[in-house]
Amino acid sequence: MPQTVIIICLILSVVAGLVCAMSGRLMHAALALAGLSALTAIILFLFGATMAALFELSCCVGLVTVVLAVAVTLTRPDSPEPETAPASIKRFSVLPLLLIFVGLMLLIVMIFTGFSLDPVTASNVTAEPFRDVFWGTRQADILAQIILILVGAFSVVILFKESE
Amino acid sequence: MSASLASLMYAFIGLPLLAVAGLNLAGRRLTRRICRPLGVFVGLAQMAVAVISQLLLLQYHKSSVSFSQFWDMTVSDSAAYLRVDAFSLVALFCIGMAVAAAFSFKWFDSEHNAFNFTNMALLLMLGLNGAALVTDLFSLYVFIEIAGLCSYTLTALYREERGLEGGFKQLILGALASVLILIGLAFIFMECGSLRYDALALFFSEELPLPILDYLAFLFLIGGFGIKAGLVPFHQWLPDVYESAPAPVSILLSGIATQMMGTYALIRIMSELKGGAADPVADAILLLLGLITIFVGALAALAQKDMKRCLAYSSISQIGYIVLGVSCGNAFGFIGAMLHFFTLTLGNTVLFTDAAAVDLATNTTDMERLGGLQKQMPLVGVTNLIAFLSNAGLPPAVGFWSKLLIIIAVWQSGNGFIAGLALVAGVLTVACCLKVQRKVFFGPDVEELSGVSAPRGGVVVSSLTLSGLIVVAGLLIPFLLRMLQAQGLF
Repeated sequence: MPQTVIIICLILSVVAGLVCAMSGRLMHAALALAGLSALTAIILFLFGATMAALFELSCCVGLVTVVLAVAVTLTRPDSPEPETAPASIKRFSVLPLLLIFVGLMLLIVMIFTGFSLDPVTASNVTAEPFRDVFWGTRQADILAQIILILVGAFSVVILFKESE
Repeated sequence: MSASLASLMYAFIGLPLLAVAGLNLAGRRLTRRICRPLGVFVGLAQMAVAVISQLLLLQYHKSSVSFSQFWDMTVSDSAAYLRVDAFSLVALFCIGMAVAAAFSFKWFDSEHNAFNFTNMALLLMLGLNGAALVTDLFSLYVFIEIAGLCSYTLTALYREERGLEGGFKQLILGALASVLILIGLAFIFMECGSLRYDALALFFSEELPLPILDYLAFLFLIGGFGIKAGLVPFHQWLPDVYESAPAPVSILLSGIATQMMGTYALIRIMSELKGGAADPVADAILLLLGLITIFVGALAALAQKDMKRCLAYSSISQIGYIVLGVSCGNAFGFIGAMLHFFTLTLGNTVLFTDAAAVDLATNTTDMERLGGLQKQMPLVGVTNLIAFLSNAGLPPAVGFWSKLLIIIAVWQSGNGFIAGLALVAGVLTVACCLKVQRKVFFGPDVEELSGVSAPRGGVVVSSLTLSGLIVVAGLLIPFLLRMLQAQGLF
């Protein structure tokens, strides 16, 4: 049963990704991105990565979607007319083909390596407390996240703030 | 000793972080005035700390020092998440050098842009320092992403069409590279269950022959870091970015950022992961990519009309030598690659600083509109020649030793013909050097440039100092190699 759910989620996430990339309307793209993140969170949860699923859900589905929606709403009066659907679809028509190609490549990898999409992996997850992992072994990543937030903030200010 | 040495290492994180904080917390009037001196100071201080750390490592006969938290400096090597060794110290020294050079002259007319540049350059430095210090492949990836994000923003700093286009190209290819690297890391994690360097070295030394998934992981990692390094055939973005970026940004990107994000990561991964195990497939791919990159880069450089584009293609060719050294998988190869990393950082920093000097004086880097500048700016002409000859591998410059080691390594790995080809390719770099010298500094005088005055101040001081370092380092290399041997590197 979990395997069927994972496969359904994976197919839906590909569809959501395509809508996100091909949509001519920013708001639709933002909502599709939120859907993609929610599906990723479900997959992570089924694989036993509960904390990662929680972070994905809170940050990507919650925070990022709200930020994008606010930004789209605020910039709407000045933004140009949205692309018409056919023009947008035509522009990204190669994308589904590319995804099918990547899918086939991964299928070949699966066949040759015997790798299977088995959620039994969840039972192999070590029961190391999240607190220990977060503060004990991934401190470099915490530092990197702090720097990344700084870089993101400065980049937004530099690229989008009106110059004095 | 370890505790005191480890506490010194925090300077590599603390210096740029405190500088960014100080810059943004200081009063507006003061902030705008201290941008350049602050950048130069942080760069020079990092160079000094790197040299002192290397001397301390030698004094205490240690090959590396691991460190984690301020409150627990006695952490064991297997638990530490930051570490410095000879190679990371060379990288950290180079980062400091490129940052100091990028801040050494006044480029930005607007204080607003100077302030933004300072912030992003220091954050870029922080990202690169992190990449040099980590002991885990995933952390390396995260820090490289930080550096990547900074370089996209820096390229588009002016928010003009060309800069935005360059930044966008970088962003798209950077995203593609990230996907490839992540897939490679996922495959490795599936096989090994860890991404720590020491765990991977152990796994790869015991696991022979390698599972097919690991070969695929190597392919993805080579593809991903190949894009970041600008290896042929993933190189098209690099000249566009170097040309469109403001001069100090070009110095940072060509001098250190591209090297760290691509070549440093490749050297580190191949030297750490292989753990002495033979891996002919990855080696053969790297050998082929390296050789193609050397020739395509050098030939394309000869066809360019813009000085910065010519230098960009020439640096692509030099990256090929580094990859060639890595592909040998022997000690000479890794030492040669590491030394050529240093050579290229020095050479590119001088060459792009000289391009900035020419641009400052003439408002162009189009070689068709330049000529006869040797009379107005003789020092720039000389430093440009020294840096080019070093990149070409001529003695007594440092580039001679790095190329010699790489070619010996290729020869030792049983690829005598390829070693010969790599040697011959050096002639193409010399030809490129002669072309730039003839078109920009010698050749017929251009009437519109008759009133041009030589740039003064930081740009010349920086270029002269680094050219001197090229020659001095070249003379000291035998001693430095003995020092690395004493550290047990080869």
